[in-house]
Amino acid sequence: MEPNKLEEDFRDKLNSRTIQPSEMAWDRLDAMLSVSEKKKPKRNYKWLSMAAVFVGMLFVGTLLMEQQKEDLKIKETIKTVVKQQQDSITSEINTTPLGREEVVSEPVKNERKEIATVVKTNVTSTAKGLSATVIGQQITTAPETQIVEVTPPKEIKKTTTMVDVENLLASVDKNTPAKNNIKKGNVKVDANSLLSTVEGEITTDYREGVFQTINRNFKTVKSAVANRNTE
Amino acid sequence: MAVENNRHAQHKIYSLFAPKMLSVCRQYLKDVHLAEDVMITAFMKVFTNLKTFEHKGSFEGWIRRIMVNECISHIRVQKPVKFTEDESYFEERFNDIESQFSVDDIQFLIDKLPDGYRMVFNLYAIEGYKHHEIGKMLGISEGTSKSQLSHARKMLQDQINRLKNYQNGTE
Repeated sequence: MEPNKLEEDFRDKLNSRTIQPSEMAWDRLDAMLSVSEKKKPKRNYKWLSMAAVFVGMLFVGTLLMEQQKEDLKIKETIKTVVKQQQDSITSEINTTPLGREEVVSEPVKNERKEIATVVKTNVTSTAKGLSATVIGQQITTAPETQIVEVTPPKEIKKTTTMVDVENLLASVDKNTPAKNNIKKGNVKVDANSLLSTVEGEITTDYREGVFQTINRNFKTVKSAVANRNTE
Repeated sequence: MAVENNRHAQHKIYSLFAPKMLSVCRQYLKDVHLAEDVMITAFMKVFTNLKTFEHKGSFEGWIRRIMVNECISHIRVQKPVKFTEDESYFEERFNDIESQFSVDDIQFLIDKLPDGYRMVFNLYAIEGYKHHEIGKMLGISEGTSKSQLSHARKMLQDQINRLKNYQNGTE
């Protein structure tokens, strides 16, 4: 299968041949080169965008780090504040054991007065004393169950002929903030449980955020690389 | 300079190599206008991949390889070439005759060959590639390349004989 003389002759003659291309050929090549050069900056933008994504990722990372630091600071402050509050509450409880009773009794007094005035207008003189004492007893013993016990006025109905239920309800509604005040006095703050819940939320949020950003940036980089390869 | 898309330098390279490279493309493609189109596309590849030229071989050889590959891929894309998977080949040798053929005659003879035969004959006899290289370039086995070459040689020999008889008859 060696090339013989004839093939060598073919090769020599074909290799020494030249065919002049048409004059338009260079113009066409020139135009094609210009088009390809215009396309080139796109690639640079791609690299720029990739770099921008990277920088953005770093920025977001640092932001999250800063946020975490701030959260830690907030946690510490919460700790101290809660401790202080706890200390103050305990000290208050220890020093003034009658304070709670005072808090409870004040709105109750008001309630009693208002209800008494309402009852005064509608109730007869004999029933007035009874109802007042009954309601007064109810309020002093259980101020929270007052509405339930007062609104269906069984005892009052027995003794009175005309009781304005709406007025009674309105007067009770006015006293609801007082009830809340009473409740607030009884609220106990468990500092440890509060801190643990806050801590858990912060760590999960931060972790999720980091994963999401990494995932998003990885996807963008991947798509950019894939597009570059297809071009 | 041409690497930096200097159009003047690119034009110089084009002017220097285009006539030779058009001749190379013409060996593979029967139509000279088509050959010119393919040559322009190949020159585009030359200029866009100029940075990858490693200065190991000759620059002309590098451009020529790009031209040949472009011609082959063009032929294969336009019309898928069927290479008969014939592993048997025979020692076909041209009669040692002194060639009186002009380059146009040679081109005429090569043009008469089917695409597959012409590609293998050009790659082996004119470009000097080995059969395993041709096999890789065309996606065929080495044996198929050899059989294609032997068929091409036989066909060329027949044509030369016919041409000679015709010339003798007219003389």
